[in-house]
Amino acid sequence: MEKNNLLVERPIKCRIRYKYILDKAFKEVTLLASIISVLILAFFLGGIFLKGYRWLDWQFLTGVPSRFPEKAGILPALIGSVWLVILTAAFAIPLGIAAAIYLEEYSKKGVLSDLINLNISNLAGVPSIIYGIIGLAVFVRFLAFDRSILSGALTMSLLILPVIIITSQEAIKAVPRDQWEASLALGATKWQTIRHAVLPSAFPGIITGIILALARAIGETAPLITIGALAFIVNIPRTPMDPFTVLPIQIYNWASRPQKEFSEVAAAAIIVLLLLYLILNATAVIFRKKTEKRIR
Amino acid sequence: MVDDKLKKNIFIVNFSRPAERLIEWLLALSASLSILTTLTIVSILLVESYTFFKEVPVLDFLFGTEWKPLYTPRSFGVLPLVAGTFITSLIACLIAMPFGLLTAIYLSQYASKKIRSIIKPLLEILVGIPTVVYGYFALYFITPILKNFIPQLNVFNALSAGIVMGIMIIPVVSSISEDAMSAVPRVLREGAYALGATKLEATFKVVIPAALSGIIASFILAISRAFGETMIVAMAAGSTPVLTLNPLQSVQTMTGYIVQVSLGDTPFGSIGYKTIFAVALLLFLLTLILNIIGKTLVKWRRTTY
Amino acid sequence: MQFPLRSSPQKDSALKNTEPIIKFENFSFYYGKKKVISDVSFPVYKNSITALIGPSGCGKTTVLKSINLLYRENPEARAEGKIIFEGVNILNDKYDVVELRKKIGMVFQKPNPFPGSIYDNVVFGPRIFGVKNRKKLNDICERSLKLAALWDEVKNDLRKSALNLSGGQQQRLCIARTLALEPEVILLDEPASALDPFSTLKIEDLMYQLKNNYTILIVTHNMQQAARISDYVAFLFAGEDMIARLIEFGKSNEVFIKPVKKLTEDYIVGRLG
Repeated sequence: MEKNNLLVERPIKCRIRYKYILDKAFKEVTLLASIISVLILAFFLGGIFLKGYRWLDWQFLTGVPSRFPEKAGILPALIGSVWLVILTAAFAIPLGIAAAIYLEEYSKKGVLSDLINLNISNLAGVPSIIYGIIGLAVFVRFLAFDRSILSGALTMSLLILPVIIITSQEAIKAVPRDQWEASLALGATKWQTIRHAVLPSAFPGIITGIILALARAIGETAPLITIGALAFIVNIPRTPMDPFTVLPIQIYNWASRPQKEFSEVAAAAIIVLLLLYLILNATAVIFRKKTEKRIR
Repeated sequence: MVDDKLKKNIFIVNFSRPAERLIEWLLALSASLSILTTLTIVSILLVESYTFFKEVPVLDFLFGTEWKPLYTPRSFGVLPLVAGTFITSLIACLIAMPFGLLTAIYLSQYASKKIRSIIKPLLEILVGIPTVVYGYFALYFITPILKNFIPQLNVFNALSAGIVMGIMIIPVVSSISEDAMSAVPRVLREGAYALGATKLEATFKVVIPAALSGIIASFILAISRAFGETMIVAMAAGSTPVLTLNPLQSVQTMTGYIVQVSLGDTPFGSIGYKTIFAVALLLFLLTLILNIIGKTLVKWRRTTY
Repeated sequence: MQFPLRSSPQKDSALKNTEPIIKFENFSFYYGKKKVISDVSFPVYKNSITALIGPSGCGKTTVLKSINLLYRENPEARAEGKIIFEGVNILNDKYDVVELRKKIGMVFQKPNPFPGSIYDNVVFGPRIFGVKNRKKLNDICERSLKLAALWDEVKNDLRKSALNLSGGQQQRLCIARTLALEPEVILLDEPASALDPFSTLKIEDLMYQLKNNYTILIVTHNMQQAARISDYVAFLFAGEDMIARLIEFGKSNEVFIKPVKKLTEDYIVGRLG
């Protein structure tokens, strides 16, 4: 009946207490690590607000850029951003959803669709500035759209297409297939079935992905600098062929100037940009909540 | 189960077979656009770089230690830019990897459902904030704060750009690592608990080893993200292409150089203009390789469990 | 060092010892608001094998996970009543969880070796309880693997990954891992359900040898297995209300030959679940 007691009893009690202390301490460390980035960011955002809020007034929102900080406004940049997002959405949304439908519903699962999927996931990882260079070579130079909103929107569409395709694919994948066969049995064609039995259920998920992609488009700076979106635009762009600037580039421009006032004007513009970004994100969150409820 | 609305729609919209075929073709066309995009990226980078490399030998470009492409006497050694990218990314990773991993551990091992549902969206917002805002943080907040402790710090420096970039990519590390750690089968954790392990011990001795490929993947994808990051380094790291690993100095990254040329008045077709394609090709290849390795590791993990 | 010799298959040998090491008293279990186990009371006798039988979904695994408090990893789960171990009701926080789990080992349904070498797996427990001495760890490893009848198969491959072992070997490794902590009680949750018949026999053999020194509580679906190896048997059954209750408890040779309850008989001969 005797056992080889290789583990001595007494030190184990102390050891256990020590283990608990270590475990508790580590839990707090990980919690701290999880929130510290959010806290730092909150701190900075507070700092930006303090720096910029004094410049936020009607004149700032409706004015044009100026050599004098007190006269500077963001209207051309704001309109440019709105133009850009609308045109980008017009290009990228139909193409993205169509590609997702094809990949999920039509393409035979095989080497080719694997290849396309792999390709899309790699495109999603290409640095945004590379898209800018491609936009410069293809849209600005080769197609001679020049440094227009059109060039910018096409470039941005290429950039966010992979994101839209991937999120739409996921939304389509998540649709339960109990209506699928019933619809086909009623004599509906494949497209009709997709159109009426699949897409409506996938819609909230697709919208979430689209909004997040557009939120990215509104904040992207580097590819637009590369295609030559100018920083100093006093004319409000009226057609897609007009030269333009966007809010992030205006911020970059002001932030790069030596005068202290311009850094504060940049902070004010950041507040506007972040508001737009947060509104888009909040909308996406609402849509996502809807999807989650529906799936449950 | 088909509802009435669906039935009605089906009879109203009655496509003929050719229309059905047309729709499929249109959809296929959209999907193939992604292939076209890739081909365009690769071919443009290759063609423009080819004309560049006709004038500058590849080896001079890859191993040259001086980068002076815009003013005579010109020299086209890309190493200073690579060093700039490397040092800023290194600093970013030193921030993002530990904090991202700890966050992933907290979210997957300790956090209750409710806390997780608060922290995760916050992190998602963090990673999506326009990078120009992060650049502003680096230039107007981090650098002045650091200057209190390090007086010799340059106004433009790799350190603050790297730190802010690190904060930005914490969620890249944490979300992929968390997925990997949550995918570790529950019986494995329970096995450790049943032997008297605390959560801490189960995490380090069982969960992390089991999720290792996913965690490494998160690191690699974070590095790739740091390599391609542009605005933060363009705003805060400076535009001095020097071959240094001193984080207190002003440096220039590959992306920062592309921005500098884009802002200037370098004429189309000139050698200076072509350099951005050569630099972009290098950047593209580096990030592509990292992304492929990272994604393969993520998939590999999925098949092992 | 002394290793337990193979005991004779005479079941009654262990039954002389009638001192319960664990006692369930009016034990009930809840997931959220839903009651899943109601009012279960039975003893687990020292140095014997007790089999928990019953249709799937009747809470047998939950009973096991209550004994080593593993259910607490699920925040929804809650236990009521008493589980007495060493004179203490372990359910009311008096008993230290880590110390309890050191004394009550558990082997799971599916083999769950940790990533890492065979050696690392076996000495996992001792290591986290602070044993650092190389020699001691080697001794523990060898002794545990011998007890688990795995030593001869792996003694030259201790540094190789545990994941390369066969399913049966993995499960014996998990038993060795549990034995390395020298527990008083070993809980086995259908340890052979994922294994081939030959590996199953090996594990059953092993349990025979172990019961001289350990108390074993095993969940099984396999009636023959329960009849072959157990000294005592507890039959759990969930009726239409989906709440599991203890239908019958007794010595195996009595329950299997002449069950008291009709329900037990139906289950044993295969008319139920």
